[in-house]
Order: sequence, then structure tokens, then C-alpha cells
Amino acid sequence: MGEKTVSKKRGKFDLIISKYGILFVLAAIIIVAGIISPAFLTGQNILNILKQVSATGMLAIGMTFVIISGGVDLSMGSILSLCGVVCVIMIPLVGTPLAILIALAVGVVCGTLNGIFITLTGGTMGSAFIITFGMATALGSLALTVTNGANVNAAAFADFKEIGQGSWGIVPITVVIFVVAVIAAQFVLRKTTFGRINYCLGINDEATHLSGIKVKKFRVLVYTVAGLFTALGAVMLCSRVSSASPIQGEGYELDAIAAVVLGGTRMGGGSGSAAKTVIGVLMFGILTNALNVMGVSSYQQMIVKGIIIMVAVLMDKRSIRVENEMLARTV
Amino acid sequence: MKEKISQFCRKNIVVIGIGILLVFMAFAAPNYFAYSTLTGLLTQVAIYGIVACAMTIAIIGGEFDLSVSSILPLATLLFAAMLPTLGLPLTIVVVTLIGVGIGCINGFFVAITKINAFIVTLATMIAIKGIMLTFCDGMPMPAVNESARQLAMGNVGGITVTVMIFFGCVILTELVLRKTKYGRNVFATGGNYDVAQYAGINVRFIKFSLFAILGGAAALAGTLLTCRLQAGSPLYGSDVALYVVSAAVLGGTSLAGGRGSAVRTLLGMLFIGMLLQIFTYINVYTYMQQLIQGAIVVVVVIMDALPSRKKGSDEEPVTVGNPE
Repeated sequence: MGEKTVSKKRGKFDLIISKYGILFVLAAIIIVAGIISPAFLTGQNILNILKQVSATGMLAIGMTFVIISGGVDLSMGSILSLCGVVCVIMIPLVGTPLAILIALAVGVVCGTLNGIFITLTGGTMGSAFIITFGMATALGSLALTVTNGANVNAAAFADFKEIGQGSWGIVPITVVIFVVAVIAAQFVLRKTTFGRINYCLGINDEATHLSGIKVKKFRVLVYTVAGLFTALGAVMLCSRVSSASPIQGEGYELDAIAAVVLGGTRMGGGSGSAAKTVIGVLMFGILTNALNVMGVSSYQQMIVKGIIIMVAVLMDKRSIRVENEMLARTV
Repeated sequence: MKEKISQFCRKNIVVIGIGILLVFMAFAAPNYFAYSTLTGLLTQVAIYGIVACAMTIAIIGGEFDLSVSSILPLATLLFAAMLPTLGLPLTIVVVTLIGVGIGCINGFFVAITKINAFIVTLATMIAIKGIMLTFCDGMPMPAVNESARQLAMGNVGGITVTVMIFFGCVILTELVLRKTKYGRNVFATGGNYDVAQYAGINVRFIKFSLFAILGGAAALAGTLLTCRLQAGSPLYGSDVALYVVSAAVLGGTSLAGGRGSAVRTLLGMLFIGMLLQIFTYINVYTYMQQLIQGAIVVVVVIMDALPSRKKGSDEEPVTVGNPE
């Protein structure tokens, strides 16, 4: 009997950790960074962090859709590069609004292609990995081909730069766009048919198929949405840094996956939310910023990022086990 | 009958592909058919080929490794750093063992903690890249050594030592896969993880070993590359994972696991090697070459998955990763 109560207590503790552990870690990072470097907790730096994370945050929101559906998208970084390059090249030709629309269309097309190819190969996580891995190479080299390997400068386009560098009052425009995108994504995931089907795909696509839902159509749509968010992120990023590079997005897909997993959305699908991803995005952004402020080199940051992804996944594995144990006990 | 022909075509896609390339070159460039072209091709594919053999075993066992594209360049740098103090034979052994060690880390997380291999190797790929770039500060390291050069470039009738090692690996892989208990267990584990476990196979050890072999093979390939190029660089081998996976799948090794062979992977390597030779010959731009390489992966993977959609076929649907 004694053993049982102990394990029950432990179970409760574990459940709290698994549910809110991420917030404790976030708080710990902020406190440690604030103590080590006073520059970290200034208003300017916090605004900077928000500005920096909003472009990558868009990718993470797109990745949230994909991961909830039980897939993954490794081609996001390349899609970002391609959309950014296309957008900036098009501005002098067709004007800023149309150029942005074209970039968004490119993102949608790339995402849809991903979706179609993944559906053709069975729609599993494995096929999503390998297909988007191949697409990452193909689309990345397409971006390089478009600009011939060179960077494209956008410093001359004032109206384009306004998106990433302007602000309404003290709130940067990119942050506003990001917040709107998060609310929209959360609404779509929770309140629409598409959102609910997205969760169903991740839980059991066979059962979803048998309940009369057009699984293939919706799976393609998930990747289309991801492509759209990536293109939005590309426009925001290029406008913030006033240029587009064909290798700009390299590694961004990993940051996006890390942010989603850190936020607590499960690899393998079926659970998670855009709001959770925001926590992951903030955490990742704060961590990167804190490492920068502390003077850790970008090479060493890669080591930290790799370890963080592993730890986040391990923690998630543990929380699944804890939840299963709790479930078994109640049954 | 039509079904049979399409089945045959799909199974021997790589042979047909090589045939088409040869016919194309017969018209476009008759002087392509020279002995030196063949030896050049073999030298070109040999180093990645060693990784491809190990990747074939891993894919048959139902796993996959992205981190080879970080282990290989790390090995070139370690080799360059250790060569002056340790001497050639010891350096090769030590670097290969370090590769095995890294593979064991991957293997531990996949086999014991049961995390999806893609995530594990993605994470280790980033972390190792960070370690490697910190180690060399982003700069290449020279490794000028005559005996090392001899090891890579010394040849008998145009067949270099590296190519011989590659052929050795192919034969060894084929023997292990077909003739040993371990090989049969790999097939069983990749074919159906649960059934293999119930049959008493130590599936965890099998999964673990797949990554240890891959790490060792990637490191060995790295040392041979350094011998040939006389330098280590963080930029070498970044495309190796994509290259060898497409070669294995082109050769007919199924990403679903449980099916494949090293000899067919060799054919896949030759096909991609020939394609790159031809691209260079007809002046296809480097970026365009990468684009086509990426496209090949997508096409090949789709083709690999298609038979499972045919009615009455004996193929398994594609699933990669831990069967949980």
C-alpha cells in the first residue's frame, strides 16, 4: 500500500512537471540570463527578441500544423529562401504588394507539391521526412539558381522595408502580424473542420479515412498551409534585414521543429496547439538571444540547439509514459 | 502480363536507368566509353559508397541516419589533426572508433529510449556540426602526408586502393546480409519489428548496431577522403546522406525495411555517379545538378512507395522509423 501512495504522489508531481515544466525552464533561462548580463532585461532587448522571433515564429506555426497531422517538413528553410529571393527580385518589376503576393503563391505551390508527394508515398512520418528532405535540396538549389548564388538587396524599397522595420507606436509591425497569425492558427485548429481533421490525421489516419473524411485532400492542405506560413515568414524576414539570400533559410526548419517540440506539441501528431508553439518560439528566441548576449559563438549555439531538441523529445517521451500510467491507474 | 512488365521495370529501374544513360552517351559522346572513364567513375563513388553500404544495412533494418553528413566531415578534421602525432594506421583506427562511438550515441537514443531515428540523428547532426565548427573554427585543416596519399591514390591498373576498400565493403556487406545470423536478424527486424521481437531476436541490439556500423563507416569514409584530398574541411560530405539514401533506394532497397542488397546499392551509386559525370560533360550548372539530385530522391521515393498501392501486390506500405 505504502509503495502505491508514493508512486501516486510521484505521478502527480510528474504530471505537473510534464504539463508546466516548460514554463519553469523558460523562467529559469530568463533569470539566469538577466543575472549574467544586465543588457538582457532591457525593454529594447525584449522588443528585439519579439521582432526576431516573429519571422521564425511564422515557420513554427506552419510546422505546428504539419506536426499535429503526424508529419514533418524539412523543406521549410529552402522554401523560405526561395520565397524571399523571388519576392525581392519581383519588387522592382511589379511593385511591392504584387511581389509579396507572388512570394506567397510560390510558398503555397511548394507546400502543395510537398503535400502531393507525401500523399503519394503513403503519408507517414517517414515518407514526409524523406520527401521534404529531397525537396529541401531541390528548392534550395532552385533559390541559388534564381539569383546565381548572389544576395539580392532590398535596401532601396522603403515600402517593403516598412513591414519588417516599421512599428505602430512601440509595437513592431512584424510582432502584430505574428500575433494575428497565432490567433488565426489557434482558431483554425480549434474551431474549424479543417483543424479537427488535422488532429484526426495525426491520431489515426486509417480511422479518419474510414469515417469518410478525404484524408489525402486534407493532408495536402496541411502542407499548403505550412507553405503559406513559411512564405509569410520569408517576407517578414527579408523585409527586416533589407535583403534576400538564397541560403537565408538554412537551418530554419530545425529551429521551427525545435520550437514546436519545446512548446510541447508531440512529434508523431494528434496533439498540440499554436499557443503552445508560441511558448516554444519565445523560449527558443530568448535562449538564442541570451546565448548571443553572453557571447557564445554561433558554432557552440548549434551544439546547445542539438542537445535541446534531444532533451525536449526525451522529456516528452517521459510525459507520455507518465500520462499512460495515470490513465492505467484511473482505469 | 502488363502488370508483370511494370513490376520488372520497377524492380530493375536502376539497370534500365544506367542503360538509358549509356545509350545517351553513345550518341552524345562516343569517347565516353574508355577504361579511364570507368576507373574515374569508381574512384568518384568509392568513398560515399562505403557509407552507402552501411546505410543499406540500416535501411534494411528499418532505420535511417541523417547524422552521417556531420560525422564524415568531423572525421576528416580529426584525421587531419591527429595524423602528425599518431601516424597513419593508428589515426585511421582511432578516427573510425570515434565514428563508432558517435554511432553508439545515436543507437542508444533510437534503440533504448525509442525516439524516432530521424529526430535523433537530426539533433546529433546539428550538435556534431557545432562541435566540428568549434573545433576547426570554420577553417579547413591541411593533412599533407605522402603515405596517406599513396593509400588513397595508389592503384593497380587504375583501380585505386579506395576503390578496392569499397568493393571489399560491398562484398562484406552482402556476405553479412545473406550468410550470417546477424544479417538475417537485420532483415527480420526491418521486416516486422514486433514479430522479430517475439521470435526471440534481440531487436534492440540490432537497431543499436545499425547506427554503430553507420558511424564507423562514415568516419572511415572521412579518413579516406582526407587521404585523397590531403586536407580536412567542415564542408566535405554535407550531401552524403542524401546521396547514399537515393543510391540505396534507386537500387531497390525499400525504405519500408526488410528488403534490399548492397550490390544493388552499388548500381545505384554508379547511376548517380554517371549522371553527375554527364552533367559535367554537358555543362549543367552546379546548382542545377543539386536540384536534379533532390528531384531524383523525390521521384525515387514515390516510385518505391507506389507498388503498395496496387491491388494484389506483395509489397508493404512505406513506413520508416521506429515501429511504435
